[in-house]
Amino acid sequence: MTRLVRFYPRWWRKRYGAEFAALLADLRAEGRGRWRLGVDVVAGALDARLRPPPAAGPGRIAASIGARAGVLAAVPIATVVVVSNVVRPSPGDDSAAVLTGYVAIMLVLAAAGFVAGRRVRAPIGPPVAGAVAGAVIAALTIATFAVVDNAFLDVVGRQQVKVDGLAHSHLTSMRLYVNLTLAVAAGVLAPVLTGCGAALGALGGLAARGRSAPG
Amino acid sequence: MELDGLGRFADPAVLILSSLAGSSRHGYALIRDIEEFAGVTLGPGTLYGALARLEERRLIESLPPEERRRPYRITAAGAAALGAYLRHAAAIATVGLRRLREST
Repeated sequence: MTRLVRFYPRWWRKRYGAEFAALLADLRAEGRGRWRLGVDVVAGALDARLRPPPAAGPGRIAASIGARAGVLAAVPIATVVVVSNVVRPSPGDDSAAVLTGYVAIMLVLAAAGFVAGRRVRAPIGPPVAGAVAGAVIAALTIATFAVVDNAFLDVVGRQQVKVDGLAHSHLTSMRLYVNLTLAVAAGVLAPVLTGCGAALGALGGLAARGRSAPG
Repeated sequence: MELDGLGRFADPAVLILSSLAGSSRHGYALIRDIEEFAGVTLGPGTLYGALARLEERRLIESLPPEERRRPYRITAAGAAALGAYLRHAAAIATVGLRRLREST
């Protein structure tokens, strides 16, 4: 159980690690449930990793805000990816849903900048928060597609767009085709969302300053 | 209010401050005391998430460790924040209870 302390970031372990390990040992000696404790510790470690360390600079605080926003946005995106590709694959046109998703992502990027604008005085804060949020969303979305496409290749490989794509490529393996497609998508999505995040984050930061300005 | 902005750690923070208002305690003693007076079991990750935030806001402070356990105590700012929060909660409770009595 005390090994779970490793999930926490270094600064946190340095400050709280020894006493936290002693607490876990006390709770285990009392016979408290291993799974319940484990889930709470992992959730605490995730929270600690998404928080800036004490006395962190404005860039680090803004990056932490962006990372939190990115993870929060990636969870519903991952859910939609799994549902629409595996649980209830939709054979029809899903461009409206995709457009809605992009609009929601843009709002999250601006919101990250808005929150950073309220929390961080430095002008670098909002664009950093938006850029990090965009990068996190891109990374987690591509990772979700990579897991779904490879784990459920027999389902995903029946999608017409993928069948047509494989037919028009020079490849013979659907797995290779989907993974190459994902690599290309990652190369496009990551810089686009990071750049959009920086721009929308800056706009969100301006909105935050406009709201807090006197008069 | 000093306890604003703690998100999901707001309730654990109030429980911790209430426990430390009695005496300084380390993590395990905090969990046991909160279970006794509030009937709420804080997990270790939740407890330390709230402790870190309270310490960052200087509402509590750590004392020298005793073996591997480090006790915490409430600061003057923490006592003031807890007092303000509890007075506010008590005022709401008074109104709510009075209205419940009047409606029955």
